[in-house]
Amino acid sequence: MADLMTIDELSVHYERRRMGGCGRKVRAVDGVSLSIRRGEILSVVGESGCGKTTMGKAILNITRATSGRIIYDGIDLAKISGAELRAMRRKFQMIYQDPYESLDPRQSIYDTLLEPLLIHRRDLSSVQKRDLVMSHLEAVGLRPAEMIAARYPHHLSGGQRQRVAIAAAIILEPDFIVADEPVSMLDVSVRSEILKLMLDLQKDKDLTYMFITHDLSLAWMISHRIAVFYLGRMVEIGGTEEVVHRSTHPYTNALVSVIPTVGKKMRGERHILAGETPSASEIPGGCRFHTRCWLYHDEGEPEICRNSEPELAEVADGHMAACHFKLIPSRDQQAVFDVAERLSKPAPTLNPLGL
Amino acid sequence: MNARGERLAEIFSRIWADSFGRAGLVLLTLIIGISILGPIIFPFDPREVATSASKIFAPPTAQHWLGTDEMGRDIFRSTLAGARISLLVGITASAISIVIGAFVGLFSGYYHGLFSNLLMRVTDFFLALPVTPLIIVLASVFGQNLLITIMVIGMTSWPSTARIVRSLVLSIRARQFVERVRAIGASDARILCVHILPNVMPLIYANTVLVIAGSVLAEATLAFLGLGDPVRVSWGTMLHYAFVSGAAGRGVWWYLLPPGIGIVLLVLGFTLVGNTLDKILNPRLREF
Repeated sequence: MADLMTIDELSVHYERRRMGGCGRKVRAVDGVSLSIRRGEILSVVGESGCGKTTMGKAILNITRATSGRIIYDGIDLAKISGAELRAMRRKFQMIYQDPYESLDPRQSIYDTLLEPLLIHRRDLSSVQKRDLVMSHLEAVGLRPAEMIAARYPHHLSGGQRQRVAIAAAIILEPDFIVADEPVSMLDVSVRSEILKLMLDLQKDKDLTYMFITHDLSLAWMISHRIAVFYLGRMVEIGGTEEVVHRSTHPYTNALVSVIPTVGKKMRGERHILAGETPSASEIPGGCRFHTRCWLYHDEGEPEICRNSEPELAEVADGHMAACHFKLIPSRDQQAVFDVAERLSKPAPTLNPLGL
Repeated sequence: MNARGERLAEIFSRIWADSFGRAGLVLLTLIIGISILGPIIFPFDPREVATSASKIFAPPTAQHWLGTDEMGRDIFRSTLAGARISLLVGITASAISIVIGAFVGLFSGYYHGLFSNLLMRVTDFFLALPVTPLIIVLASVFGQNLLITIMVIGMTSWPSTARIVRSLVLSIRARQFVERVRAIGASDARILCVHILPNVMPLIYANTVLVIAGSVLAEATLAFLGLGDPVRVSWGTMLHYAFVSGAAGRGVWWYLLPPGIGIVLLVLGFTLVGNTLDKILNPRLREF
């Protein structure tokens, strides 16, 4: 697969001002490089506050990056001017977590969907625009489209609103969609429907998704590749099965080991991470994960973890991890392997019960 | 549009459902009705002055329902005529004030920069300034003319509106749907006009009604101090002449009470409706 977008050393830093004191630097995203391949679903997984949403917004230039390059089609999105950027925006869209907040309460559903067309498709006649709105409402399963179009957000349920948000995101036929936890605010019963809709649309319209989630099992189910974030840095990236079954970073490993399983007893060790994620304004020196790392303790608190920050290194084809030590999968991940085999299914497919 | 008409009807019925709101609506309908119909049915001619001393400060009779003033003119008729002027000044001055306030609030709330900071400092300056002495000075510098009165009141009463609108704009611009439309590629002008303004409108409506009450009072204050338009007599001007001619000392209550009660009822009506409207359109305020 060809690369759609290349992100190079992207950083987003904030200055947090405190009363009377000098500003502290918050490193929300700290030197992330990755490429997004055309037509893939790349899941970005991490705890809340790890910078995954900020990165998604920085890629779409909703939040300005402090440094780094975002190369799309040979153009550096971090550098282009406001008007050019606005014109480029039809190529990338975002789907938000909270469908109650992401729609204008005073705009009818019809106007909500019409708006992207009014901005970018002035070439269309009003009849053509109307037809596009109606056909997209139907494409996201909102029928009868005529009736839904006349309504306002407060008339709709959370799932219906998220469908509207999805329709508004795809109506301009973008290449790339950043979906920020698009199902985590929805009722469990609606989640699988929305996910299925997103996956169907991805196939039909040849979309590329960056799927931001805190739920590794969800990422496992739907994505081609998974990138794991910790405190503003990517600690592991690779094909879904690689990352889940042969995780090389102790953080990923801990996340995998606590995926809830049904029926089978866990034979391996669960690695429950102690404590909270450190604040992004006080990132620990050395490997930023060492304060909570179980492997660091197992290895007898080696100095290297405190002193030097590991770089991403290739562990298998297309699979990279940033850890000074290499995990031996058989030792710690046997339990997960068994579970994986029991549920075994070629990713990405959807298993609503597994949600 | 039909939907808008329905919404308006709904708002009216909800004001009516509130007992304070209903009292306010009744008062306003009464006073506005009087100010429109009154001078048509009972025209007032200020030149119709008394020809004999007995007609001056005459108590209420069948001929002069509310007696006569120091020139022998009919107080009932002049009260009806005064309602018009008081309302006219109140409403037009508020319109000016709301337009300025809404613009400053929208602009300084949406943009962050030197200019918008400057606007807010100007707003603070006006807010901190005691308004009554200011408008007295302005009115006495620019002269006694209805238009001047309207301008002076309109130009000095916008800062509170600007503050309120700005705080709402600040909270709306941080909401996710604004970010979403920006991510679609919407321009600032589009975000302001299509997304932020409609969401601020309810607050502006409620505020307008309250500002009218303030403007009516401000006009009465100015006119009472003798800075009103001597040709177009408002309730405030009537009180001024009543005071100057010594009506209070002579016990001529029929000269003082009609315009006084008129002002109180008019301000009360707008305040009651305004507060109710505020409660309905900005339900979050109810918690406080």
